[in-house]
Amino acid sequence: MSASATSAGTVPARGEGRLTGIFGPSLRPYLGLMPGLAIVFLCVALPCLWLLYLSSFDDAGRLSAVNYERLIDQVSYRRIFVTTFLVSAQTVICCVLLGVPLATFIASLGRRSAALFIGAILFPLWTSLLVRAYAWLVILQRNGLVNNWLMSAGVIDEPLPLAFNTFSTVLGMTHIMLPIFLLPVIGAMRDIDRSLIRAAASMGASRTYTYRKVFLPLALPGIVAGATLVFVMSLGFYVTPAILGGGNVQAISMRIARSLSTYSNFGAAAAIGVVLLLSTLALLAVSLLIRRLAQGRAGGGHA
Amino acid sequence: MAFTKKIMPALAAVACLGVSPALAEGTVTVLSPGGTVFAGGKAALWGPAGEALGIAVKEETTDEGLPAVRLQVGAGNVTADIVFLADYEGELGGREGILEPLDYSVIDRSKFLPGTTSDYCVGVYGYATVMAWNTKTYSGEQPKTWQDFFDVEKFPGRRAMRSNAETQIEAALLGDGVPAAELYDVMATDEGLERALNKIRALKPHIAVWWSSGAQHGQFMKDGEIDMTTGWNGRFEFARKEGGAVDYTFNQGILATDCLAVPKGAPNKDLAMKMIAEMSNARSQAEMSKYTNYGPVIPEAFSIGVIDSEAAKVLPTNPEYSDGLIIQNIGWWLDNNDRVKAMYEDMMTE
Repeated sequence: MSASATSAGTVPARGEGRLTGIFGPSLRPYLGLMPGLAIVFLCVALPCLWLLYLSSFDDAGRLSAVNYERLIDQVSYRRIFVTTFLVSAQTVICCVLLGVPLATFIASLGRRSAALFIGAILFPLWTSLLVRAYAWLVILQRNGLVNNWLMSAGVIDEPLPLAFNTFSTVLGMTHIMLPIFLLPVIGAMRDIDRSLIRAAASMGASRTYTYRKVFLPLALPGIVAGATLVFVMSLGFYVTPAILGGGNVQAISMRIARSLSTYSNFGAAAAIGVVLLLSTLALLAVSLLIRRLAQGRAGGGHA
Repeated sequence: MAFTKKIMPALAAVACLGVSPALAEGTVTVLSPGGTVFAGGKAALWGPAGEALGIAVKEETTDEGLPAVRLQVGAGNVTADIVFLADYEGELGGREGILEPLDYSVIDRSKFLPGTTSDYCVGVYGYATVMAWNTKTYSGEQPKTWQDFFDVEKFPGRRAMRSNAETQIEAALLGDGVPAAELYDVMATDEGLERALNKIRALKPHIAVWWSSGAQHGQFMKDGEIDMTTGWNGRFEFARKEGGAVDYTFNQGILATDCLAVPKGAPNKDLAMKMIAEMSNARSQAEMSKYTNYGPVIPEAFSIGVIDSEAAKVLPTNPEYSDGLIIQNIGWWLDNNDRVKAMYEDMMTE
């Protein structure tokens, strides 16, 4: 395992290099960052603060926690949060189960065939979300393709309830999220030093053992990054759950839209946004911690 | 987001500015929805009325009537004199103080269907929440009442209801056997609301979809995705015309209206009142119904020979249906909206 020690050793070294750059005596690198930071502040931080501001007033414009109390008092909010997080987690699981083997395969290909596959993966990204959601409806609904085939083949007598539930929602979201998951994972897998795999093989490790003990741990940061990306994006999904969930899957984004369009209650909508943002940040922190721990363990192994 | 939502309709309105030549009396600006309502309104309502009174009419369109009025009144720059609103918006706008009280010494209220005029908004056409069913699924006995809608033993099949409590509470109580005359008395009590929610709870295992738009429930019925649903009469008529195995009944239909209002501080308030009075006649409303599937709210419109009996069949306010028709109590919804919708959503997500 001495070979993997070298690789694990270089990662923190590179990180340290960056750190000295930032915390070095010169402030000049900061100046170059200023325009970028200003844009981030204007486009990200300021709207978030505005959201917080909006959420802290009641209908009459008085400072109040009423918008947050409502989130606690009304049970449907809790259920909607749970549903959204569950559906997002299921989407992540589906992406990992489908994406990791596929990424492994693509990463093992030569440049030209890999480019072909990556192109094929990216292609659906250019199709509108709405079109893809309705396409699934055509396939899954009661008189849809799947049910019609199964019925005419005599496999089933009654149409299966495929559409308008968690299943169809997760399916539709996985379809949209898979390319977004694959890209960082393929990148991470391509960066793995092939000599490490050969080293493991030369020391008598079987192919599955090498895959499990050498390849996957090295790809883990990419997998965690992809999974985090998918999870965070899934939390804000609107179109897919609205169409494929058929009202049986209530996502947070749908509630926010309803608060705005039918109640025109910006305070309530902003409060949901704030809570969603905070819970997402908390999850990101946990994910970061897991990554740190994973890296720490990989590094600690050869000390 | 707040601003785009409010400004976009205003921009759209400005983009659609159309001015008819002014002659004598002055000008009024009409803010109406686009599409068939605009076409019908121009041909049957403000067009003839403007000509009769010698008033030039400036036309603007928006699909968000109340936000547009809020924006104009809030900015102290009111340009619209007459605006098309949903009756709910008319009531809400009146309470918010952004509408002028209508001058019923000029407008004759007595010819309207009771419940289709209010202090701030006078009805122009009505549409109904009705139930529709698949005629293939129920080829024998057809459902007739809301009680049949909730009876899954007599009429087994996939149901759909609205993901918004409005009109569904009424349907549920009617389905539980509450007489139409007592409907809003029962809804006024907490037990009554709980009774309505329990009725829907019991149906929930059979509710495959909660619809949120008219396009959606129209499509479900046309495709045969759903066997029976609540929804708007115009959508089902369209689905039937498109060849769907769909039928619906106006029996126990719940009527809501769109109405005409005058924004607070309208520049030509008095002319606007005169225009509304002129537009509010049986003939204009009858002509208007040719452009939409919405029904006149002046009953006389059906008896002056403009609407033939075939066309009258698809209009919810047809006097033949009047015994079974329920006029929605918009004031009740305004008072109870937030509370009831929260209860409904709790029930939906259980």
